Amino acid sequence: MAQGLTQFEKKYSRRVFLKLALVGSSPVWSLARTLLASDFNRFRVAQMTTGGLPPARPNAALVLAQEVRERTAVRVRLDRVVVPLSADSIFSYPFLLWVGEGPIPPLDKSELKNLNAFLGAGGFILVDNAGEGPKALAFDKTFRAELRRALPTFSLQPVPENHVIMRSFYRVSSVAGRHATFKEVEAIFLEDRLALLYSRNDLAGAWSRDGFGNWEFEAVPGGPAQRESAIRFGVNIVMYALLLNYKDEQAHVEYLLKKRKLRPEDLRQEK
Amino acid sequence: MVVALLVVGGFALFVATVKPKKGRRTILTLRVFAVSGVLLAYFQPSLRFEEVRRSHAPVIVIVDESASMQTRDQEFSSRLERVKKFFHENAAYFENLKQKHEVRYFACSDRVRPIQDITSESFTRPRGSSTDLTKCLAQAIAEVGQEPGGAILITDGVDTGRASQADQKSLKFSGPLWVLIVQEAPSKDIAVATISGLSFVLDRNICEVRVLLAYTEVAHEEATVALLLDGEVVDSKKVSLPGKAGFAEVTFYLLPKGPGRHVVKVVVHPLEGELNTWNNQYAAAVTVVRDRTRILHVAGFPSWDLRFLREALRSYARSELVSFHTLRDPFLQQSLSKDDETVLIPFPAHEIFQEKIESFDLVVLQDYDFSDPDGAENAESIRRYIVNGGSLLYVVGSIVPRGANLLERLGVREGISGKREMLTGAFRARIPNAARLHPLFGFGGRWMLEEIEAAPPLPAIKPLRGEGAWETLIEVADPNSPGVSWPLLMVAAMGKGVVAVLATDALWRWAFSPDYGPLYGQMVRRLIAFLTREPDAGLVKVSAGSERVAPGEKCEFVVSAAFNDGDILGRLESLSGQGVETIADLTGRIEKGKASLSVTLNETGEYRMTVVHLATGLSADDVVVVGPATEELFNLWTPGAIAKTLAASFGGELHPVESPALERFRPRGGELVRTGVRVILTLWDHPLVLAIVILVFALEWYLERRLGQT
Repeated sequence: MAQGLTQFEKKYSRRVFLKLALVGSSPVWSLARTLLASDFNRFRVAQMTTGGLPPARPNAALVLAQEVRERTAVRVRLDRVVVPLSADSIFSYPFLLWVGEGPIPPLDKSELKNLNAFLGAGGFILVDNAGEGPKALAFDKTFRAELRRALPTFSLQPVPENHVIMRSFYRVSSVAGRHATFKEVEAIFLEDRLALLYSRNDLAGAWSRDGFGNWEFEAVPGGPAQRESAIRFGVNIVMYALLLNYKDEQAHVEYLLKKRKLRPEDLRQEK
Repeated sequence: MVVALLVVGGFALFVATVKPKKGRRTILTLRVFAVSGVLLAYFQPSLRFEEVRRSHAPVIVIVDESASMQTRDQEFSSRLERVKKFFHENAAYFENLKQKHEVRYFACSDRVRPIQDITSESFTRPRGSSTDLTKCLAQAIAEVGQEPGGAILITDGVDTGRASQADQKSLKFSGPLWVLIVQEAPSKDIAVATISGLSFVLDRNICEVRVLLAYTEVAHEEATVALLLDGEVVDSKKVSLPGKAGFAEVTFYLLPKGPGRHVVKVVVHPLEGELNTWNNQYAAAVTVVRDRTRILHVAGFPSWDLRFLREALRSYARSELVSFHTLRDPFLQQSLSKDDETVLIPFPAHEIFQEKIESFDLVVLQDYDFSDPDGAENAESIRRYIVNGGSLLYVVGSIVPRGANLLERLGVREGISGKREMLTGAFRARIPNAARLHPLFGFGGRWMLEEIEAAPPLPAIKPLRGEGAWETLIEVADPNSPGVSWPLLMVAAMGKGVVAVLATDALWRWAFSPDYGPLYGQMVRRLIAFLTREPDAGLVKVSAGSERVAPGEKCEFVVSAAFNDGDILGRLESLSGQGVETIADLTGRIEKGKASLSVTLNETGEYRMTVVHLATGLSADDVVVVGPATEELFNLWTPGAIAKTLAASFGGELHPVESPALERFRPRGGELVRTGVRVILTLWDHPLVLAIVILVFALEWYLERRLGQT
């Protein structure tokens, strides 16, 4: 390299370059500011990790978000977010996806505290067991143990077939994921709110696509129909997290609308 | 005395029979005296001298001054005028009566009122809520303190009391009772006889108000009847009046909007030639109760902001939440399923916004863009709903109105011209000074002031400006434009309603924070209470002691405040005339959060007391109705049975006031009353008597010795 600075280098020194970049980016920034203007209310699926473990099924969250965007009126932000349970930033993502493939290490103090606080503040966690064979058992065992430590006064309960989560958007009768081994899902209920849902059928596996857009795993034994069912169940889970028992209340709307009498004929009908 | 007589009599008989010698007779006589003296000492007789006189028995005169006594005819302006004429014509009689008896005058309606000087009593206005002659007679007798020698009762006989014969018999009065009836020939009249359906009125629920009219001396006419709510005509109907006299019923339907006390009034337009129009209207203060706070929540799409706001709405006490949230954009072909595979239903926008909207106490719109086909009409319907007394909370985030811009109709404009998007940054909330005393932050909400200003900054807000009467309750400083602030929460009164605009969709950040979740919930609940005019939400409250008082009766207004002390000003206004007229200004002071203002209201009508806390300017009001019961308004020409049975029960007579036959009224005399000095002469220990007895014994002993007889 020649010694000294060339004319070009003098003209476009780092300082000058940075200044130009800043000035030049302000319209971009302004555009970004407005384009992202409604971002803070958009729905995002954040993948939660514990104990420093890498997230399992890393593509599932994005696919779920995409499906929700395509099928519903929910405004979705399609970006990959991974957040450790120990971080306070989890309170920026009221919906967390926790996928495990094997045993999870014991939760530390901050993780226990955050888990408790997150659910108590109204957050929703979808826990998915993506493991196979012994690894699935290990995840199940360690997850249940850690849940007992975090929420000693609550325990996982089977979700009834007529729970509103089964009809929060689609009428869903199956909770199958990549496989259909288990016929039910379990949940932690805080008062009447389903705060944490636990699936052992590897729902995330049914949602995962590779970089080329192909499904990563086969859905067995039902194939595409089972996968579609798993996606619908995923949409239902998201809708439930956003609307809770809205669909249950809808059943009473007609009665409520007729309850207050506004016109004389309403009184006569009552009589 | 008897013993003495027996002794003397016995001695006289002995002397007449035995005829003793003179000396013996003398000795015997002396012995009789001696025995008499002993007997005197034993029986201890005494001599009393008393003065007595016969007292003047009180005579009570009772004049009915109830509402029906203002009935007039062609000759007199009221029945009370006839009474005044009666006293004028019979002044000599009453003067003469005063010479023999203690005459006590009373006026009566549902209770008595002593009158000091009947000649100066004006009887210009009726008093009391109804007439109870028996009760008044009993009260007058109790006031006098003793059984009167007689009573004169001057009344039109329209007695609305419920006294029985047993009640009459229990009176400590032997009569006579002279009942003088004041009446004129019946004239054309229509009156409000009864109103029913107002005893339990629910907010935003139609109620049936049934009005019964009583009419007399009409000739197949038609009457126009109007129902007013808080001075505004709700409905007006024509009703036929068949026959000469009778009753006619008319039914109105009333839809109250807002809990609290309201004035419902029925007014019958005067018939042609009707003289007595004072009974053509009847007002009642009605307490409208809200059973549930009915909230309509419509959202354009599911979001976290919707989720947490919805939970806060559901947590509001006694709320009834009707929600409609768009789950799938109807304009996009997103359906990968058949309709029956989803639980989606079409949103009945027309039915909700145009037909049923009046049934809601609060409408919450969240990210709703009015893109439905009737968008413009629905937006206009909401605006009308607000102006007619409804409440709206409009949460505006990123959504941009497509079909109709409700915000513009409400006087809210984009803060930055041409920019409809949200601004991003770190927007820290603060409370403007003028808003610190707003009811949102009162009565247990003062802690929110600090919490809101300490809450995490919001990442996005919608830059808006309110024109006109908009008040900013919470604002945020723009970190990108020093000196510029934007309203985060602003409110405005619009017609009879209230609107609030929340200019962000990121407030869920506070809701989802473990530290600020309670703040969010409390803020939403207090906002609902303010918007729906929940009676307990104000910083100052006023409550009339009773909804209705009789003319001449004292009415107390109790003031309670969130402040421990402070001067208050109470303005009493009459709502009965063409407009609002100030009657009186009263001052008071709040001590330990309470104060009381009392006023005596003499004229029939509707009144409002508005109390202002002088230090803060905060105010509250309540209404009260002054007037008689409906029973006083009609059936004016038929003296009831009570007046007749009273006269008969107490040995009296019933006459028209023009020919009272007072010469036959003979009140009883009074009782004998001991008024003189008692002189008690106790004979048995008088020194003279003792001396006589000793002398007698001495003489008897001397004579016995002298005459040598035993």
